[in-house]
Amino acid sequence: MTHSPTRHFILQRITAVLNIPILIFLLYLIFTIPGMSYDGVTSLFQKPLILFLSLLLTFNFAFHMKLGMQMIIEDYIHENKNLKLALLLNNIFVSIVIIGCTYSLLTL
Amino acid sequence: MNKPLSPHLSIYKFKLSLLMSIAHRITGGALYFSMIIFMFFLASLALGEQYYVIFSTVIGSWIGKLIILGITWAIFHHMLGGLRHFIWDIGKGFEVKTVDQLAAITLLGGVLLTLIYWLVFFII
Repeated sequence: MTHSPTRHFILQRITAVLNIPILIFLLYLIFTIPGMSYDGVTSLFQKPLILFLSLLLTFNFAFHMKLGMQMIIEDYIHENKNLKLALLLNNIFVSIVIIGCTYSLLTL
Repeated sequence: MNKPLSPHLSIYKFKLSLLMSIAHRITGGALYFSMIIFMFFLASLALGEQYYVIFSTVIGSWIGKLIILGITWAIFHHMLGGLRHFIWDIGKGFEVKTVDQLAAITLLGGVLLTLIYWLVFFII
């Protein structure tokens, strides 16, 4: 394990619990956005509550994704060099998601 | 590396709970990469209308719709699989019968929630 397994376990569960209310927000987005115009969607994401929930979604999903993928990597990749590379790629992917989503949301 | 390794997959007898355990990882992995779609959605919004039109055309195509359908199923399945883990975390549900029932609930519940969600979507 790269870090403390207990800490990983607890953070995994905290982000998992938080994912449930966030999921309701995501299902609401998938429900409402398809019929909307570009201006409609843009102004939706400019509302403080929607912006806040979208940022929360981004960070919580990204953190949960990082932890989950890290666990899969540590279970299946045992060769030290490959393990380090896979963990690095995981961090890079999750960082791109966080930066891409956050930057887009804040420039809307 | 002094980490203990899992016994190899081939020693296990096939069970639904085994399949659901793998499905939890597969849906999790699929959702991991699906976040790219959410990022592209936000990026297209931020870049301007012509980019958003491209995004919504791609996602609005039949293959795009199929992917979104698959993602919603993966979400529900992964959520139920996660709740199953929470039951185990509090030290309950380890009886073989309960484990089998939880696996069945995850499988059927995921499909059912997806159907309900999209039925409501198309009715309203």
